[in-house]
Amino acid sequence: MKTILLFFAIVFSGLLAIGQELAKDQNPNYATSRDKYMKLSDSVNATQSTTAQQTYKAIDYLADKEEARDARKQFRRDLRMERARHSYLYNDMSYRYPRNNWPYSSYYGRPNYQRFNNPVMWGTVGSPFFWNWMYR
Amino acid sequence: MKKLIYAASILVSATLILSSCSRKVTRIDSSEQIDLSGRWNNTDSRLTAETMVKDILSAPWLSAHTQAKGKKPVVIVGMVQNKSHEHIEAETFVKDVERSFITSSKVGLVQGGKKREELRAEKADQQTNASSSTMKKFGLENGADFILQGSINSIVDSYKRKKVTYYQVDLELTNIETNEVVWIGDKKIAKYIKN
Repeated sequence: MKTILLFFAIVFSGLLAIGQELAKDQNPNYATSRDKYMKLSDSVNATQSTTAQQTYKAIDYLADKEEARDARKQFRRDLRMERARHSYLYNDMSYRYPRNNWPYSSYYGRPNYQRFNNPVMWGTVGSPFFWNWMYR
Repeated sequence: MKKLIYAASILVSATLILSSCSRKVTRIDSSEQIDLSGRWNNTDSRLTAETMVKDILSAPWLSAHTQAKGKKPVVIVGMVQNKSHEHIEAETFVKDVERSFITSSKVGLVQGGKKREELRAEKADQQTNASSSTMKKFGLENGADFILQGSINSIVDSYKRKKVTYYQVDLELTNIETNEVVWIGDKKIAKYIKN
């Protein structure tokens, strides 16, 4: 008799506990979803009060035309810069500067000699390894 | 005499050059409509805010919630997705909607996102640095009843020098517990641009 009473008491208290935890009409499997989103909430909620920019490129005749013009200008500028940088390819100086034009690039025209006047540079230029590298 | 003429002509030309190159900036009323490029601007943002504020505070969701729960609803602002062809910052008009919640005293507002993180960090700092009587406790935040989310979409139709741009801004208010959308506000703006 005691065993039967104890069994009913355990079952009843278990049912009571479940009943207290679940709200009316609440899905009994809610914990699966809760546990999943408890882990995600920080990263998902970081975007609150912000605007996610997912813009697209519209087909716009004038904008496309302007873009093409800018691209052409940029290409011509890049070409000029490349020509200036590798001037030996475009003139008859290739015999003189076959590999490089260290220590100054002709990118912006006349080099600034002052910046080579330091002990590190003297050491470099004074080293036989440097001249070996220069005329390899 | 010649020197005087030279000096005068230099002075006049210098004045002309300087006056033509100088930039002029004037303050204007923020509600004044000035359209320059035809892109999204402050007037569009203002018109959107005005429509949304008027609509959200007069919609039935507000009275329904107040009657059912016996207290004013609490709203949190979620994310707005800009899916248009231009960079648009939704905060310019969403802030106006938030301000209307507070000034009307009909809707409560809670912080979300980075600002909420900062608040919690400050609270955490107080746990070890503030006096016991002034220290703020964890776990007493107001839970939001609704979340405000939105999207911005656009359609561009252009032919040679003519263009029609259409923007649609949608804001949605959703019950967090039930996922029920209780309000959708929209603002449609169409512009005809002739270059």
